Amino acid sequence: MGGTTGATALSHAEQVGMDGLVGDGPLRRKLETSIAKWLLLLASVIAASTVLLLIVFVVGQAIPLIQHSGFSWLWGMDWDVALQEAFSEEIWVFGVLPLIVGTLLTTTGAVIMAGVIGMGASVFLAELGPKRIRRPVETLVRLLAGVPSVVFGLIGLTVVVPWVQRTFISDELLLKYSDIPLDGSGLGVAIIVLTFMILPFFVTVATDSLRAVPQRYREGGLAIGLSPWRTVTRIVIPAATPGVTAGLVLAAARAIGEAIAISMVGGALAFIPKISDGPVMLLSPLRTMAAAIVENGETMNVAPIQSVLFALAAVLLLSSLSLSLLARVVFARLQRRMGVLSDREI
Amino acid sequence: MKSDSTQAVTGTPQSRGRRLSEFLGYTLMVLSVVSIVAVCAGILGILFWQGIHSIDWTFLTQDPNPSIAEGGSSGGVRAPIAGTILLIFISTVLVVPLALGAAIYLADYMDERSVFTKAIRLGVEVLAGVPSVVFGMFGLAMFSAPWLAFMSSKGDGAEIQAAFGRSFVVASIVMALHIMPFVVKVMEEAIRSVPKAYRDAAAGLGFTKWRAIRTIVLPAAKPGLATAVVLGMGLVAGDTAIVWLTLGGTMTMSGADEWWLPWNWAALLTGTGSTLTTFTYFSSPAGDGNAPEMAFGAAFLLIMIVLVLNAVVVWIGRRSSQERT
Amino acid sequence: MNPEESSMDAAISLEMNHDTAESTAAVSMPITPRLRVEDLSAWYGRKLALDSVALDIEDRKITALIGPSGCGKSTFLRTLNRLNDTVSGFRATGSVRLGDTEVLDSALDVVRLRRTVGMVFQQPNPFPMTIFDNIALGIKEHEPRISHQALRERVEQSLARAGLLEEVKDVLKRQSALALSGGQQQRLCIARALAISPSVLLLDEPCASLDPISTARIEGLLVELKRDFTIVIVTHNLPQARRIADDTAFFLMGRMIESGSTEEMATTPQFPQTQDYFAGAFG
Repeated sequence: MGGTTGATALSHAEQVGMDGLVGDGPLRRKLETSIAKWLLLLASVIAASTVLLLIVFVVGQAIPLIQHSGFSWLWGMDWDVALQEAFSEEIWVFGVLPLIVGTLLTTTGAVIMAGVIGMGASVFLAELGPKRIRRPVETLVRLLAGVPSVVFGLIGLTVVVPWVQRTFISDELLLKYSDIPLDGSGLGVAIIVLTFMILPFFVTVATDSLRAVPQRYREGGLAIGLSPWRTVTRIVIPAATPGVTAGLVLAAARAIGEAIAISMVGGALAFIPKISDGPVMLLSPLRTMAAAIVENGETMNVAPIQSVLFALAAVLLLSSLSLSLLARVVFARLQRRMGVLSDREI
Repeated sequence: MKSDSTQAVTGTPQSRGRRLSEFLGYTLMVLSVVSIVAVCAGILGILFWQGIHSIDWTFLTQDPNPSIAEGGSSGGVRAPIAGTILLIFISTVLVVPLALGAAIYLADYMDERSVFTKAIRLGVEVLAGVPSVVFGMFGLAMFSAPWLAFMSSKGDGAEIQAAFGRSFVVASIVMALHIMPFVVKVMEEAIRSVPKAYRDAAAGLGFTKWRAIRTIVLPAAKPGLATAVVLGMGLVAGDTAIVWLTLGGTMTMSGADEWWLPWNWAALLTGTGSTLTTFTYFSSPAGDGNAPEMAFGAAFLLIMIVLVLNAVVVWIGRRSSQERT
Repeated sequence: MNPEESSMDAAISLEMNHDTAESTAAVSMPITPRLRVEDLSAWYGRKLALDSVALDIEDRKITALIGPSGCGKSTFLRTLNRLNDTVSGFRATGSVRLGDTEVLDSALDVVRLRRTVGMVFQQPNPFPMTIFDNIALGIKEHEPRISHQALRERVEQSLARAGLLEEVKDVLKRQSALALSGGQQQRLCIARALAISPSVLLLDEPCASLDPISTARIEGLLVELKRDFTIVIVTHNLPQARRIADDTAFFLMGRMIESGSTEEMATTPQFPQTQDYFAGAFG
């Protein structure tokens, strides 16, 4: 009995040995292994260095503008008229401040709204919603994530904008604010559309962060007599803060770069909505940096226009890179503050 | 701390104020979900309602009418459909080897503590946050270089020194780079989720690391890898800014009139065209075409593509979880 | 001389005296059980986890629940404060009476129940916040209007009872609880449970992830605490049950096989399964 097992084991060992040493031939295998390793390395280096290519090409094309007019374009106020004039004569003086303000307003509004709605939905999906409804809601969130931006724009423009016009814009309002073109499009609709565009991303990140909170925290909360709601708000959400905050920052990075939909519902005018106008501010038209780029994508054979559009792209690129880095820093900082030693630190 | 054994459960019930705040909290939570459901249902409902009327045989089989003078309301979306499929196909072919290679390297070959590793990971991660409009501009800048003119066409007029920088090839390359970080991330997760025991077993049998990955890890990760590719396709189908900037604003195939003939394919690929997204943009009231019914028709087809891709992802997930049990 | 050890010894000898005093009293006057479990059955989905368990748990004693893993002892414990309500598919029938309150009553306010029945878990689970906030959270939850001064006193008092105050008093409001050692974390969790003044303390293998020294400290602590609390502890560590528990109940495959005084169970078990378990565990 013992002898038989020993023999089988031996022959098995021989087999493995044969296979490992002879097989396809060690040289071929060695070659394959090292070639594979280098190809994989190459792929990841290409993947990672794409961001450098982006910086070189986009910033590079913005240089003519900086050579001609330094950085004055950053705080100049005039976009629409300057762009018109640049077609007929070679001028290098642009003002992109209205575009920057437009981008900041839409992004801030959308991030706040997506933050509130997204937290509600994430708590529902990860913690307190009836289990049977969670799955279908999650499917809808994924579906919403797949809706192309142009579809958001189209529906915003043909459904939401006319509704806003009918509902909120009266003749008196038009008379009172005759200096603002009020047609329903503008900041308010832009924020709504942008909110639902970044919402699925934020919900996914926030839901994952909540789910990553160890179950033992929840049990600890319940065991000291907290209600489920209080357990979530006092323990689970605070514990998920690093991930949720980082998700919100990344959502902001998406919001600043959204071009098509905002160009469609923003009113297509480089106007700065004024807080002094009160609620009418939400009806004021605006234009964002990304929208300005796509709207003029066809007219890039004029050198100054081309250069200023690349300058806008460069601002967007550097902002999005900074926000991505900020998200990482915020995540690591908050985690360290909670006492969690993170292996994802930079 | 002394307790009376007859009155066991002590303490006051929750105060009214706290109960009210809990109620408001739950209400807010439910309202958030309702708003998401309503927006989803609204988008689908409107597209189906408006879109279904535009869909007919002419719409599907004719090219868009090239002359704006006649209005965008005649013609169909044959070229945009072909453009969408072409773009999805080429950019998928381009992104898969790159993303798979990077994902394997990130998942299995890296020393997590080395600076080099962190740089690679950081590079891929920050790339994911770059807006697609910036990718589009990058594509224009890069492929306007005269020596890359073979990928598009020579520029005309004053810019004779530069290449045109817009073509299916260019748009596909830019699109592949745009979706790459996302595809890498999903693929890396798929590879990482293969149990370590498989790798150990392979190592125990005398497999080299690469052989173990090729023969055991990758086959086991196949559903996740397929999901990554399908999700990437969805991103390509839905993007407008890159297409608008690097494929141009012409709604028909500019490379050749009879673009479906094989000997015209080279011209097709280096020529410009449109996809369903740019066609929707062009035909919307915000675009030059201004034919909303055409826009809704194209948007309807787009959302159908999105739904089908979503269904494929769900199907892959179901099938792989069935295999496992 | 190891101070840790000496305090342990003192605690154990104290316990012995206490025990004899109790048992002499028992002759003259019947003890009201604090927790009376009758015909308790529980299911996870279709799987039967507890099969008509009956057990009396007495006031101000330590009752140990022992048995192999998967025998239902943790399920039993988590039913006592209704924590298994959060597990989907869980269902329990029968009766668990705490004094005159029916714990399984669906109309019962579980928040109030859990205030009366504190729990400490197998893996220390301090919240990711400062040491102070960990304790203060529960107090503030139940006494929202407590003054800052009183809150601080209560926190320190709880930490002192759990034998942790001396080690952490300088960093109370600065250090994250996650930076403490495993044993300190577990004592923090005990302090957190004590802070809301429960009368019953449930412990689910509280020493399973701790080193022997931390384990000894916690055992000593529990022996002290039983003067004020009814303590139920799940353990797979028989020597531990023998060291600290007055009573022991042996679970096997969802059934409570045998219960009684720990000494009797260890020396003269009634049932062959109990005998085997003790024999195997000792051998």
